Amino acid sequence: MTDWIIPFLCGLGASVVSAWGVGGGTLLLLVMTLFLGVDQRTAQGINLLFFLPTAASALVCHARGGYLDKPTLKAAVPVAVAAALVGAWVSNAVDVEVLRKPFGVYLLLSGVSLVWPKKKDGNP
Amino acid sequence: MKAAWTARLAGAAAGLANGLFGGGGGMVFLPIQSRWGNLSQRKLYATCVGVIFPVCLVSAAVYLWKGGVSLTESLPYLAGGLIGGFFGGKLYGKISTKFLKWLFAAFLFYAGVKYLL
Repeated sequence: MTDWIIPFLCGLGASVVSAWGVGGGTLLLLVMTLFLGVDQRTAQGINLLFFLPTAASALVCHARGGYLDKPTLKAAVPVAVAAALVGAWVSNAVDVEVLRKPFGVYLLLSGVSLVWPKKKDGNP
Repeated sequence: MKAAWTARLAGAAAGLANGLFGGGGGMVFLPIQSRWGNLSQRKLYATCVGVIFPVCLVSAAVYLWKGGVSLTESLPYLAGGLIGGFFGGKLYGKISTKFLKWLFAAFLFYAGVKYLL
């Protein structure tokens, strides 16, 4: 009973906040590793799965509104998918401890990126 | 031509980071695209999700296949996520996200330092 209620509530909270565009895809991951004692790799996997249904429903909205930029997608997606395969494979092949410090740097940079002043606000 | 290379670079960096660290690829893609790309803010966010979705899909498949994660342990989080997404959408715009962004950034710094120590 109690071993799923906390994860359930964390998932709920994380998705409320990410619906507001704040979570940035790492909030749940950090709650799991820092507070729930979930192993780093498992937390990363759950975080990836967690993103899929939310993103799928958002994508349908964006596509209907015509906001998906086709040329950018055509150029970016194949490279991004190939890079993701490499990244995910490496992450599952090496000792998770090796990724601890790079992950810390990644978090600090993400924090800066989040509050970095936006240069221009293009047409909506 | 230049735009396509910007997109490829942003995609490659976001894909690699997202696969390696299990998330946050959007925070890599957005700054690169907004600095060197020419998309409007609205299109930029939408297109970012369009790139990150397939990235997360293949990464998740690798994690499942390699045994890094199992579906059963993810279920409670996913169930909470579905319900939370619904309420999040309803509450959207009623709460100041500017404050939340700073709060989350502070949390990222705290977590980053914890990982580095």
